[in-house]
Amino acid sequence: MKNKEKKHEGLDRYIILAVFIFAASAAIIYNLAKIQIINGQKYKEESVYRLAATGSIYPKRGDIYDRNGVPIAGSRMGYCAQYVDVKMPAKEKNQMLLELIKVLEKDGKTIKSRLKNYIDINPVRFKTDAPETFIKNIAKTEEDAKYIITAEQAFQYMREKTFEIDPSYTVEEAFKIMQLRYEILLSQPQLNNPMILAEDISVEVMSELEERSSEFRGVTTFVKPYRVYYEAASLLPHVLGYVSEISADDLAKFNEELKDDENSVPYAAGDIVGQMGIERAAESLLRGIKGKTFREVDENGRTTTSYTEREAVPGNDIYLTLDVKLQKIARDALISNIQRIRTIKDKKNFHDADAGAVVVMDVNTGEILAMASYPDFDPRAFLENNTEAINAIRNAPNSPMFNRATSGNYAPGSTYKPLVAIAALETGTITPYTKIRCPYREEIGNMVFTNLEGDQGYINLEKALETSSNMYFYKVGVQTGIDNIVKWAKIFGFGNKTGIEIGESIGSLASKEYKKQNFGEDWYPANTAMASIGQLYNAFTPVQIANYVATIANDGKKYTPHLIKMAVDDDGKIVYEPSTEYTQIPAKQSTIDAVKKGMIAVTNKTDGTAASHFKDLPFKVAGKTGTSETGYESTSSSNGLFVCYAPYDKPEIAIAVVVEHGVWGAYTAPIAKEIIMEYFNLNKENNNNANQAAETIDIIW
Amino acid sequence: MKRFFTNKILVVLIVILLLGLAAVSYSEKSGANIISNIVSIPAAPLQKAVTFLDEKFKNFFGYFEDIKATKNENEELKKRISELERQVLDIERLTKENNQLRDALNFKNRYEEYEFLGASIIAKDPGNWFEVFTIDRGSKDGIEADSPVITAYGLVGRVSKVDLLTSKVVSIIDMDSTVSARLSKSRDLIVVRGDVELRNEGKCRADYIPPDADVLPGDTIETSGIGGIFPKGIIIGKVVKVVQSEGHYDSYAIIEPVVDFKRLEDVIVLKKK
Repeated sequence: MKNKEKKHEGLDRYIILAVFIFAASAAIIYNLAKIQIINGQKYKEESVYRLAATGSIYPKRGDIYDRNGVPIAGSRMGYCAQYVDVKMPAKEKNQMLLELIKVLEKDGKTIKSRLKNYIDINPVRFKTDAPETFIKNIAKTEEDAKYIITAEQAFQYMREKTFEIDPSYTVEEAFKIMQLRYEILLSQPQLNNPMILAEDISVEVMSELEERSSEFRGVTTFVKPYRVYYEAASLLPHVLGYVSEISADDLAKFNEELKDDENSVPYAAGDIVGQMGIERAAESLLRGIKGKTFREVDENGRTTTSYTEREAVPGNDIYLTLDVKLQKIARDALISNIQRIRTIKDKKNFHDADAGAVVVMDVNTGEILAMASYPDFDPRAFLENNTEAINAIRNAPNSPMFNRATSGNYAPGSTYKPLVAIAALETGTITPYTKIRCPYREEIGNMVFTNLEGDQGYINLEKALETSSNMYFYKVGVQTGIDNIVKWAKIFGFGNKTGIEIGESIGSLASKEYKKQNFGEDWYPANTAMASIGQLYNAFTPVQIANYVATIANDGKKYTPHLIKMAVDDDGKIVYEPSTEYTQIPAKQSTIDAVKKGMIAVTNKTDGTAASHFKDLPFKVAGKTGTSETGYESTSSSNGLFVCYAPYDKPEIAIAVVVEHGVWGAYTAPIAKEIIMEYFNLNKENNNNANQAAETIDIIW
Repeated sequence: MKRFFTNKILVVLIVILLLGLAAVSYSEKSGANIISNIVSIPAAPLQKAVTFLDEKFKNFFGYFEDIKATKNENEELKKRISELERQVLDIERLTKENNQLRDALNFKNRYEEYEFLGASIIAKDPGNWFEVFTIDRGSKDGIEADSPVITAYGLVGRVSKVDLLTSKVVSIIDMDSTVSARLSKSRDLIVVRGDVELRNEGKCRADYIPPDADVLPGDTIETSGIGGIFPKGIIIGKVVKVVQSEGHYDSYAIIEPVVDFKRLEDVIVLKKK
């Protein structure tokens, strides 16, 4: 019996064991069948499942060179990291993302997250008064959202529920993970809209992200050309401008302009565009065309097929008309003379010269050879995204980003007198030989005017220009009439855009219309007298003034001042060249000759206002000084201007110089002289051709 | 039989094992290392045996072919030629061996923080090339995931998965491989990747070559050492061709690895000391 029972017991165990084994085997077989037979087709499809994704090939922005091929702006290779969300357990994902953040932090890069707009830590607090949308974003259900009230609650909810961050992480670590996860939550980055993790990462960080790519799932890197500004760029920041990420306004504006062009590729957020100067003006030439790639990706994110749907086309290279060497001289001369002028002892000097501009133009083509504006800035600050440096530039008291050469409006003062002379000669008010009495004091149009030069007796036009006689021009101007003066001013381009590629001001022209429009008042003869010496509402840009002088220099041929010599595509083909056409000013040659004669006297006759500066040159320079009153003469110095062209008999270049609070026009003449010395190779110590040049010029003289 | 089933411990063990297997086959992610160890440990000698037999058979038939060819040769002429050939081969072999040993020695000196662990390939994924393969070393030998794998010639790849006795190696021609590399001559940093097409030729590609980089076919490519996985200066391969795609700022190159991924038997795993 006992034995039987035992036997039974053994049998029971055997049965139980058999059932267990059977059950286990059945489970295995069931699952095998499920995998291989029932879902076999599905898994097979999934294993060859392909996702399609399009990507961009970023074109290289065109390089910028000076007229001799000296590089100013170019490109360098940079790397970016992007992320496509992958399905993985929260714990693993958080760990991976934290590790990713740590690698990116090696470059000093922090993830840009919108989370920081809403909440901060140490202590945990809301950074907004209306956290409702934010709470809605993080809450898993609407019910949950109702119970999140304090910042601490929101933080804990995110940590535990939304992102399931392991309690072993510190608050700082958890917050870093949250920032990235919040951004992922909002942007839902998929293959077709990857999220940019960091721009312009170092080659070291790129290398690490790539080599550890099996660890950093969903993270890929790509190459993008980035703008570089070379040494020379800091000499011409206003002409060059800078580039930065496209603004929302520009995005809409540019795409509106491109709307009708079927071949164009629209701009996208994050694109880099020119923001000022040539970078802005020649954006369409420099930009290039973004390429498009197509690839198929398997479920592990590995590319299985890829091809280029549209090739990228690099932007065109631009050659400027500027000569970097001359530009450096012009800029240095401007800065050093502004400093020198501040120290000059003079009753009228308030030692406040602090800004200015200079424009050097080829009179025979309209090419700008040098254009400097001071104070200036280093455009490289904008490429480095150096917020501190950028803010320092933007908030500097005397607007270093303002291009005084094209946008600064300055009363021309006496530099306007040749224009008045042309108007008077052409209208027949005077001849070159007409002598006009210029007393110290005379009443014109019910107002008493005095002559700075004292009683000059009877003088002709040449003497009037040489000595810059105000009385002569008060009287001649009034006789000629404001309408005739304005007519000729417009012919020379005053009150209008010169047509230079970069942003410019039209200035303002003292005229009956201007006074009526802006002040609602009638015009008086006394106004004409003031306008005739380049005061009153007359305000022009240095580039307008330079163009006017160049037009006189080449006997009335008015060119369009320009900065771009040519644009060349990737194959070396010229795709853009500026127009070399000119307008002939309808003035008699005798008129131009008479004015030129007066201008040469300025720099050469003993009474000339700038005579002392140009005596030792091997050729003659024609010029005109201008001292323009700003209306604040009791507390600050007047503006100093100087215009000239050289050589006198066969003009090559025209120069316009303005120094704000430069006291006297003549004080600014040395700036022009330094430019002439450089342009004509007259600086013996740094040029071998100087002797030869001097010899040839000797013969001409 | 009865005794077998009455051995309670064994029975319980079998049940647990089966239940465990059942549980694992149920769950979606069957990546648990222990289980795969259980499977791969018994499988390892089997794979080894299969690979071994395969080799032997190849040799056996090759031998007959050789004899057939030899018989057709002129006896006297053959003697002289073979004598000379043997001399040449001897010299070549010795030079090669010398270089290899020298290279291996150099490696040792340069990678002091690593221990060199010889390993044999016991299995590989289907295909002509050793893209992903299994070696007979595992966690018991101290191998860790991401351990670099080399030969005396240069870089093979990295360990992607470690089991107790075996490890999976992902070679540099596999699509899952990315290596931070350097152009030995110009020192430019690039990225070497497996390519969907090139892997079928046993080659890989070098991406992110800067536009101004001085790179020509024949240039050597080595590991950069800054990617966090591979130590610096391991030879990867030579540039076969530089490709500049239109409109692309950077160019890429086709790389012929120094390691022959068609014939690969023994490798060295660099184990952190």
